Amino acid sequence: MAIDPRNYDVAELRAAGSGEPLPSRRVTDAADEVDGSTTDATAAAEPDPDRPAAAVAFETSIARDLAALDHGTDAERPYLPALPASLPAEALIFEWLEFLTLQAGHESVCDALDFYRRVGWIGSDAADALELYLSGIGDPRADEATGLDPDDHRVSLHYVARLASLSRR
Amino acid sequence: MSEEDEESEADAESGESQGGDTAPTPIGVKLGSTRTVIAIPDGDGGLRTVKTLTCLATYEDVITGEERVLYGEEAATEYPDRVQYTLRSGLPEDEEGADLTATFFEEVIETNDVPEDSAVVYAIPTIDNERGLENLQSVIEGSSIGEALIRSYPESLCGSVPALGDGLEAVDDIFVTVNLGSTNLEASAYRRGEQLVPFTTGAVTGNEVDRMIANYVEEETQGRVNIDNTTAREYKEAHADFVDFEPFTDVIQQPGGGSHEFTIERSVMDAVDEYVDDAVEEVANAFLPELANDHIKVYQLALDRPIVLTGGMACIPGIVDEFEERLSEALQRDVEAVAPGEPALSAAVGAQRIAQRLVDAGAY
Repeated sequence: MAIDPRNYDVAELRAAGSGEPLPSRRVTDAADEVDGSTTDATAAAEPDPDRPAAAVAFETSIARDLAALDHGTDAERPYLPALPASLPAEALIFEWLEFLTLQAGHESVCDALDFYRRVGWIGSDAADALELYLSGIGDPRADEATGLDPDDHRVSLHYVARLASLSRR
Repeated sequence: MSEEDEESEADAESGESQGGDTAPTPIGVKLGSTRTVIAIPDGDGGLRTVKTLTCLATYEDVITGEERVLYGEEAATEYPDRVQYTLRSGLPEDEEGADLTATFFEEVIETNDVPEDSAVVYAIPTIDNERGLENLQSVIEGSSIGEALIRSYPESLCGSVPALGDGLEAVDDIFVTVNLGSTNLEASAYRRGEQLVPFTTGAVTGNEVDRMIANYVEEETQGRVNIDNTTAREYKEAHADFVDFEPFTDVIQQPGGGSHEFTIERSVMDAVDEYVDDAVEEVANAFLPELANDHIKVYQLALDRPIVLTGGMACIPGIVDEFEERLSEALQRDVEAVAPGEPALSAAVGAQRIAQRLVDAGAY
């Protein structure tokens, strides 16, 4: 339906927002693209009246994705010795670093990458490569005032697992 | 008949020519269940906003015998017995509702000289109602404006635009927004203009607050005062205030003659207080878990950024701080809430900014 607000042209809107030339019109369904499974994690979560439902859903979602990415073999540290070379991996790397940068700014991301290396999530090669990528990411909306919290690190582990999974392919 | 406000929108430019032709006028429209707002460039770099109740009444001209139409505040005041709110549920439910809405909209357009050669962006609630959307589409397509271009975007996105900057910063941002409307509570996350996990509930609404106020007034006055929902809404809009509420007095005419004066101390604030609790409950326990489930990164990013509150209920003084405090408590983490300067106008103003950019980009 032409006026259905769920079916607006995201590409045209983004181009209008940035002042870039408009792309040819394309109708997309905003609900099509999700960066996680649509399984209802809240239904699967153990009910805990003391925990906020959103926090439970967040942790369940991370755990679910990590379990799905665990291929049953005994994992060895570092989980991600080096970055996989593939186009999906490139996109994932940028998505991850952009997330960290938006949350805490460049300096905190460097600290975080060092932390992930020390705890054995990523290898030295991966850390060095990520710092190279990081130098190409700048965002004026980065929140320099706050650091990364445990939930942000959980998201990072999620990305580590996804990249490690791509490395195994 | 309608309120016209002059807005100082620095980015609202009009009349630029494209290839020698005069560009269409970029217009933003929100056809709301309670109020309709139209944002139009005023020609001086600002915006002229038309705000009117979404209602009409018809009467017969005693001289000519022709049917006349009144809309907005005038209709509600002069013909309270026959005034019809054409979008009571948010969208026209049937053909008759669509016809009434079309009549109302055309009257507003004509009375306020809204230009036909225009690019119109409509802010539309994200309601899963195919029939209602079809009826609204017939209203929009049948209207005299939007000759150059018609687009529609979610009301929650349009309403967030003025809250997040002077331009279209919202389209390049990641955030959560909650529209506190008369007929629905809508929540959505946006990732660079893309709507994620649109959530709508009709269980927590401004209209329900009006009904609660009417009930509580009856209780507070020991059954001596019965008010209708329109009066309850007027009480809410005039007196609800989380910062500085003061009891107020009103007078009703008794059926047998004479009048009765009464004072309201609790009814209004009890109702809006419960509303905030219910809204926080829906956001914390229904919408955000779904967002966390489907979009881990967006959930984590958006909660560290201000949550944008829009819609008519966001106009109540202090409600943004109340929402922020109670949602922080419910989530056991600090969250920040913000609202645009004029929440009741923000959807139309945001839609107008999008229309302006589409015109600038030559999308018509």
